[in-house]
Formats: sequence, structure tokens, C-alpha cells
Amino acid sequence: MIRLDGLRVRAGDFSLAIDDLSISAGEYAIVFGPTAAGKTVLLETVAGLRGPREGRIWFGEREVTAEPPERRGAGLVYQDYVLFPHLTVAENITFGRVRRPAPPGRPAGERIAVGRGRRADRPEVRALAALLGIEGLLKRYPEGLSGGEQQRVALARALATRPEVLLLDEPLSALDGPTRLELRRELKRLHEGLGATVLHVTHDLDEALALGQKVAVLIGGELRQVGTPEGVARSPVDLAVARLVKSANLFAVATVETASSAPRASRRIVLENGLGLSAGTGQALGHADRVYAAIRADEITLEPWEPAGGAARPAASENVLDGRVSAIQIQSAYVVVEVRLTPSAEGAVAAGGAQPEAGTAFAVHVSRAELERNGLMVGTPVRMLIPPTSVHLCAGAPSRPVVS
Amino acid sequence: MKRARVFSRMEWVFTFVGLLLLLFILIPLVATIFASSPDEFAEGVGDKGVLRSLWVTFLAAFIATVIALLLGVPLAYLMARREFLGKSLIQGLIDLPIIIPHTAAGVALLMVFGRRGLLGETLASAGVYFTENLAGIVIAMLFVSLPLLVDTAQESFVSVDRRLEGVARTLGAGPWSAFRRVTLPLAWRGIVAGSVLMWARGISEFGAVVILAYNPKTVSVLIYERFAGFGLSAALPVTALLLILALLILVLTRAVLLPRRKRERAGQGGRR
Repeated sequence: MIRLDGLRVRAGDFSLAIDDLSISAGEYAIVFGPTAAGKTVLLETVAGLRGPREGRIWFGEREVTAEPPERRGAGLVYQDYVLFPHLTVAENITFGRVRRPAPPGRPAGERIAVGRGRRADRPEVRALAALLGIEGLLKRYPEGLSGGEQQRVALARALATRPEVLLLDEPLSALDGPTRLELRRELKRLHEGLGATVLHVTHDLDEALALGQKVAVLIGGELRQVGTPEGVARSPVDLAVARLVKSANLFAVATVETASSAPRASRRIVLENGLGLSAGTGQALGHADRVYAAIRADEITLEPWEPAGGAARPAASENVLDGRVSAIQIQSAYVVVEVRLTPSAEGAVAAGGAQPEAGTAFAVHVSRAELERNGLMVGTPVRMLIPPTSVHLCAGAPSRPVVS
Repeated sequence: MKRARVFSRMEWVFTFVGLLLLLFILIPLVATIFASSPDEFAEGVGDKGVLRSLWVTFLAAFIATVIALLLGVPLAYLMARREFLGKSLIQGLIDLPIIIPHTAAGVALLMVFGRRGLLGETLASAGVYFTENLAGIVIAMLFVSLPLLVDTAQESFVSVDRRLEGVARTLGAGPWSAFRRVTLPLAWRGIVAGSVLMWARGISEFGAVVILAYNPKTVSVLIYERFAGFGLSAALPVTALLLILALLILVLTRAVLLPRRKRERAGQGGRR
């Protein structure tokens, strides 16, 4: 539905370069990236508010690169709503031409002007307001509305013209927590109900994972990775993407057993700090000059472990690491446990239970229930189990975009 | 227990200093208005010459303002929205009339619009004159008070978030339509305020007008003439009348323009 081809956009000192990005009809695509990654520039270019220096933009079979915004048919919603302050909610919604179902004998989707006056009473406006739960606000002005209400109005305004493409610029970022969750569900429902093609940019990982059918990672004006939310979160292509998807444990890798001598499913790696691990996934790294191992904090299992007697170690290929809890941070949804490895050369913990100072630290996410069940406290000896498939190898420096 | 000061000592000092300045403005006004007796006032004001010059002054200032609106608002929009080479030079050019002495402005205008002026000579052969008539007054007022309107309009365009125009475009509005339906309704208060300011400034213009068109007499020229010819007491009634009118206009426009300012602020700010 949307295709960007060799796009180059300049905005002041900033430049955006997207070689190829395609979004299918009806797809909910997320462009995910940090602040100043060029996300707004991208949306404004697709909407037609900025002209690219090079490249082409396609909406389906129609090239729109040279078309002005009013002929493109893309609905745009900004983070801070940008409602027309001098118009009522109903007037905002009907600012564009509201599309009705086409009368017989006329092409479907044809725009029909609806004239002025009594906007709040029109059936199509009522229906849209009902869809977004803003029936009670139609005669009010944007000024007195809450952020969530304003964003609903902005969505209704964008949807009123039945846009081929809906462009959302951080639509939830200005909202408070509960409203954000509510509107996130709403967006999902709207997308499923209307089947619109959505291009939604955000810096919020949860939003990207919860809404996106496709996630494109944009950093510094360049696309780094395009894939499923799961694929991007679990298999970041490089260090910057790994950081962005909150892969908490990132280690420089010293040596990787070559793929020829071992199946890709279980490569043997040695970290620069000397630790040996089995790594399962990871794309072919090509000639990346530095390789990193990324391990998500929520994919590590913690077990209490008695250093004295102790359970028998599982098979060495399981990535079993012994250590002690060195810090506990309670968060809203989970607990971050920091585990420092005991020096494996000695094979045992230092006498007297002293905390080894120079161990490698891992972050592990556990639930509160697990924390209590296992009686984890600072100093508790623990054993970490890391499935090899959770040890993901990625390039240190940006690599070419990978489509997975 | 001592209560926290609501008004700091600094603010008391500032209040005192500010009051001094306000009195400096107010006392001459009040003194002038009450200097002539009601009879003298009525006699001076009832004079046909006075009424005629009031009409000439207000009309010329009005025409100048309309011309500035038509030509200055588009310029103000461009200055507010676009960056281009030499923009600061153009900004300087717009503001130039503020800083040059108005008599100098009158002389410069005479060079162009006078009977032997660059344009004046050609136009005179077509029967169009710019000296000693209403057109001359309009030209003088336009030149010296134009910056007030253009600057105010520019400011109010800047205060309208350009993304509002962008959203309007994505909703199907062309550039003209977006300007008419979004930009103008949000900027008009500023433009009207600028127009009133320009009109009022036009009314009070003396220097440029007196050089380009001594006749028909504007109020300022009339006051000067009476003062120079018949002394202070002759100038007083007209002066008082002008002051009262100016005060009325100011109060009225404030009353009309200020109350609904609030809603417009909602449309300002944001990323550009």
C-alpha cells in the first residue's frame, strides 16, 4: 500500500534516508526509534508536507511523490493533537470532506462535500463520534478537553475523510498512563474494525510490540532493521537496536566458533571477559568488525542454588552460570535482579560468602512471586539458566538493514 | 508569626517608578483637556475647518490602512513562514520608516511623488497628483505607519502553529483554503490590532504629511497652524478633541480585542 523507494529528505541539518520500505494494505506498521531519529520528518514526507530531495513515494499503484497533501489522502495525527482551536469538536471532525458510502452508479470512495452548519447532528459525524466515544463533546471547543479526549477528536478528524493511509506521530506519548493504555487498545480495535493502513511512529517499545504487525527501526535517519515485533525484539541486528529494544545484557564477544564447524543452532562463543557461552540465534554476521552477545533479561531463569552441597549441574551446553544476587530493583511490573558471577576458575564461592568483586553482572527480570518464593535477597547464591537460543549475536556497528 | 510577603519590596519600588511614568503621560493629557472652558471648546470644535480636517485625517488614515492590509498581510505571512536569503535585510527595510525622522521621510516621498518626482512627473501628465491633496496625505501616512501593521501581522502569523495548516492540507484543503479557514481566523485579532495601531499612528502623523500635503489640513497640521499663527489657546480645543478621540478609540479596541485572546493561545506553540 505504501512504498518508499530511495527516499532522501533534508530538514535543516538532519537528513533522512530510506532505501526501501513497504507497508501492505491493511497493515499496522510501526516506525520505532529514539527521539530525533527522523520519525516526524518521515511522516510529514509521506503526508506531503515535506518534499523529498530524491526518491519516490507510492500509495498502492499511484505515485504520489509530486502530489500536494490535499490530493494524497493521508490522515495525520500528531502527538500534541494540533486541533483547530477556533472550531468546535464537530467542526474539527468535519473540516475535511466527510466520505459517505457512494450512491449507486458512482465510484466507491468518492468524496462528497457535506456543506456547512449543524455539523454535530449529521449521521456520519454521530457515527464517528460514537466509534471514538466522544458524542458528548461535539459542541465543545478543544481548549477544555483532556489530552485523551483531544487525541480521540484528532483521530476522528483524521478518520472522517476515510484516508487510504493513517499516519500517527507518537499519538499516545503525551497521554498519562491509564489513558495511554486505553487509547492503545482503541487504536488496535479501530485498525481491526476499519482495516486501514496505519503508519505509526513511536519511541515506546511497549507500544511498538503491542500494536505493530511490522516494526521498522529508525535510528539517526536510517532504517536499521525491519521485521516482526518479535523478531526485532529478540534478534536485534546491531548494538544500537539491541539497546533500543532493551536487551539488558550486552557483552563484547572475543571469539565465535565458525559456522562451518558447528550448526548455526549452537555456536560456541567466548566473551571478552573470558566467559564461554553457547549461542543459538543470530544472523550471519558477515564482516562485522565487532560482535556482541545480547541476552534479554526476561529470558534468563533464576534458581536458588546451594554452593555447599548443591544440585548437580545440568549439561554444560545449557549455559549454566552461578553467582550471587548483588542488587534488587523493584519495578512496577517485574523485579530486576542483578547477579554477579562467582569466579568460575575457582569453581566455588569464596569462603565466608564474601561477594566476589570482579564478577560479570547480569540483569534478570523475575516476577515478585518468584522473588518471594525463592527468597532472593542481596547475597543470595543463585544459578542462572540461559537457553542458547536466547543468546543473540549482533554486530557492534550499524550494518546494512536486514529484513527478517 | 510574620506572614510571607505577597508583594516583594522590589515590586513596590517598581510600582512607584512605573507610577511616575504613568503620571508623566496622564498629566499633560488631563491638563490639555481641562485647559479650555466648555464654551471655548465648543466654539473651537464647532468650527467647520476643524470638522473637515478631522474627516480628512480619519479618511486618509483609513485608506492607508486598507492599502497596507492588502499589500502588507501577504508579505507578513511570507516573512513569518519562510526562510530565505536576505530575509533580515527585508525585515530592516520594512522597519526603516520607524527610525528615520518623518520629515526626512516626507522629503524622500517628495522625490518620488512630487510634481517633478520620479513617478510624480509621469503621473501628473495623466492628471494624477500626490501633493496638496488627499492622495498625498495617504502616501505619507502609508509610508510612515506601514511597519506597525506588517510587524504585528507577522507576529500573529508566527504564533499560529504551521502544523495546523499542514493538518488542514491533509484533510483536503488547498493552500488558499487552509489560509482562509485556519490561518486567518487564528491570526485576525493580531492583524486587526495592527490595523488599528497603524490607523491611529496615521492620524497622528505630522512630519511627512506637512511636507507632502500641507493642504487639505490634517488635524495635526491644523493644530500646528493654529499654534504657530494664533498661539496656545487657539490650539487647545482641537488638541483636546483629538486626545479624547484617541483615548476613546484605544479603549474601544482594547475592549473588543482583548477578552477572547485566551482561546487562541491553545493554537500556538508546539514544534515547527
